[in-house]
Amino acid sequence: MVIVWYTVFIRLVWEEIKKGNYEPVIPVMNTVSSAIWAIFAIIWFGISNATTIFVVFMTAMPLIITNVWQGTRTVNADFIELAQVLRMPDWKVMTKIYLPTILPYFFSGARLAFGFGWRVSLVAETIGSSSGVGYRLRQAADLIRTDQVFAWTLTLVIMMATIEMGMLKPLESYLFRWKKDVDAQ
Amino acid sequence: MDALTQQTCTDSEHTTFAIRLSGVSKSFANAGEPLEVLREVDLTVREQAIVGLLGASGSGKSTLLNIISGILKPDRGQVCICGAASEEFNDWCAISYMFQDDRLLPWRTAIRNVEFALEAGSMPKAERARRAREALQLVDLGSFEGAFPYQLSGGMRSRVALARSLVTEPRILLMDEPFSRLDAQTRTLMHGELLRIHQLKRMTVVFVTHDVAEAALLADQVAVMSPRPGTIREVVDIALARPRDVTQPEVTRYMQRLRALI
Repeated sequence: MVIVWYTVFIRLVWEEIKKGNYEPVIPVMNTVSSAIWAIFAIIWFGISNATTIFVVFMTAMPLIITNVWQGTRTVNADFIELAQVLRMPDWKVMTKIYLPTILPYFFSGARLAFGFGWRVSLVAETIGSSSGVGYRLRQAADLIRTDQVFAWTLTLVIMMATIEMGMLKPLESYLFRWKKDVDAQ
Repeated sequence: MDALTQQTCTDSEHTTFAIRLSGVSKSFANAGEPLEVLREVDLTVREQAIVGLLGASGSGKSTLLNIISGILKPDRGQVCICGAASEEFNDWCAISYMFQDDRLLPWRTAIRNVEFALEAGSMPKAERARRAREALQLVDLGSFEGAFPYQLSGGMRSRVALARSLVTEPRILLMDEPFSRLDAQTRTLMHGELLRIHQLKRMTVVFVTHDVAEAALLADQVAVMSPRPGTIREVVDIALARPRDVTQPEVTRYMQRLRALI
């Protein structure tokens, strides 16, 4: 039964890809859990940094791709026409119109990926690494050192909050200062 | 240039025209059926003239403008720009195109939007900025160069778009219903601006409109187009001094005549 479903599913996805429609690839990649990637990674790379990197990459990449994908669809055809009238070469159209249009989407994708990434890396480190915060957390759990678990948790939260408020937020409000502020009305 | 082209692009006294169209036809494929948009259009635009293309929607006015600007190729007929056949004409900087909407890039400030028109080539950045600043000053927006489009009013955005089409120092300015989305008052203001800049820069202007008043107020000549397929029904010379006003009886008479022709 499972095999039948499997064949049907893979066939459907394959048909879409052959038509040049890569969209179903993304949900498929999204559906595969990080835990499954982690197990594959341990089999392929063993207990190493590569395992963590691979798992984070496989989890984060579809998020960014999906967002950028949505972004390319919002490129304003009128702006392309404007560039055409000005006889602008294609690569300039890419950098001057496509890129700025996609950037907000890329940014929100990257931010989502970042949020997922560090959570997933923790899990990946816990099961597939001999160093890192995840590894330390598991060690603390094994030794039943609740104080250490709390300490690591607090460290992580402070680190992530600093990156978010000290880097991402200011960068975002600088990059997208051309957007009308919804709150300031 | 062969003899035939020479003949169509300049007249017997070898006068050069800004734009000369002869026998221009264009069809589009519409759900398999060819749709004839323009049939045998002849039009001559003198240098420095302001010419209005007037017609109901669907009379191929915008298509004609796109053919002049070189975005579209005619199926048949000859297009001459500044005395050269369209195929041989390569100084496309000499033609500027102003759209119905302002089309300002929202992520660029006013001055950077104006600079955009200069970015197709390889002009140094400092020179681009200098020219863009000049163009913004020309449209009285010198103090708003750092503003983003969302911070500007409709009229101001229209001015930035005008500055963007003027920054390349065009010999021909094509306008596709450029002020149709503005309110009546702002539109009148923009008409004044356009005429003032025309006095200063002396470029040839071809604008598309469906507004009889706009045509009568701005143009030296109005080419009235009939729809499906688009042909030029009549070219009306408007021999009145500018600035004109809709309340002037002569202007009103021209408006009535144009309205009757549409």
